[in-house]
Amino acid sequence: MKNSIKSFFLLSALFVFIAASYLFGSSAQSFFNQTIYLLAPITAAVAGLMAIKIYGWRDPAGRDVLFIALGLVFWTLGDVLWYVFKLFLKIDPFPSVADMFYLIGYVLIFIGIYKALRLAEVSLENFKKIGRPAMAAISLLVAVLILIVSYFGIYLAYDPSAGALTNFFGIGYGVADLILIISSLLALMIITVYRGGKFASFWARFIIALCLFLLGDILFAFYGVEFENDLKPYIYIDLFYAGGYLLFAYAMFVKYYTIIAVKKNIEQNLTTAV
Amino acid sequence: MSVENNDIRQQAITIIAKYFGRDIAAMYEKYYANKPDELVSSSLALLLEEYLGKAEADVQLKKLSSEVNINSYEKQY
Repeated sequence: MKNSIKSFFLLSALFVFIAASYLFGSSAQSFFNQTIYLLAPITAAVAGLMAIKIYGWRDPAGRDVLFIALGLVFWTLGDVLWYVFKLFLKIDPFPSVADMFYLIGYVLIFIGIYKALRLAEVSLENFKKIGRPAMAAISLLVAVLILIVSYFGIYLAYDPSAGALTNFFGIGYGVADLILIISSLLALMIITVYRGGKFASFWARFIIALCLFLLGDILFAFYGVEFENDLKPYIYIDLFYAGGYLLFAYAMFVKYYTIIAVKKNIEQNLTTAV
Repeated sequence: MSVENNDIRQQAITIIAKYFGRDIAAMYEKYYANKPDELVSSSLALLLEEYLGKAEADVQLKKLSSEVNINSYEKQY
């Protein structure tokens, strides 16, 4: 079985395991749920580090993967800190240094996508390839998402009775979601360049992962208090994040195996030539 | 080896390095060393089509052929 298919089944199994424990577990097992949830970001961070290794730290060809993988590592650190603060130190994880890691993660992922955009030499001409009806639908969706995030994630996030740090991070997440929307749009432009090629499928998985994160963030903006109090069904918001992380991991694994395949192919050609 | 031969190899390796990294480009450099121009072009075209898609592969190959021609022209005159 191909490695990419194997990783797809393994990641799917992991998601089913996490989802089953959230859906069927009692609220008393929230410690267990949140512990196994961490497997998703850790898997994404490991996949990202594997993808960095294949290019090396300094290769310009891998700059996009480097920043995206670092973004995943920062999100994972944020998740681990959130987990430690909430479940071990029994202190409110918001606002905390965990939020700092999350927000830096968004910026790093955006830089990675920007690097990929530069590499793909995307121009506005590429938008024409999408077609007018699809372009109109995407523009409408993006406009609606920007309105929702701007209102609920930024405008309503400001709390005059809260401290400066709480407001900084609260509004920061709204701005980070705007970054996610723009990132998804940029990733779509990259797909139009590589349409039909294996690089495009990496970005397709990546966009779906970004959208799952965005959905999770929007739901968190609505039901943050219920979520933090471990109430059902609000805790299912975690499943959007877990699914997003596992899709990021899948995209990174596929990228890793793609480059390995190119390497093996040319190695074989070199051996045959000798 | 003609000037043109060197150019097409160099340009092909530059494109490979851009998308697949320096390690893979170095391996292709070895592989292309004694190969005819046609094989270099067709091998590059196959690689780019598989990973970048047909449209972008065509764009890159078009750029490559025009750059090789310009360099070859400049070196001759």
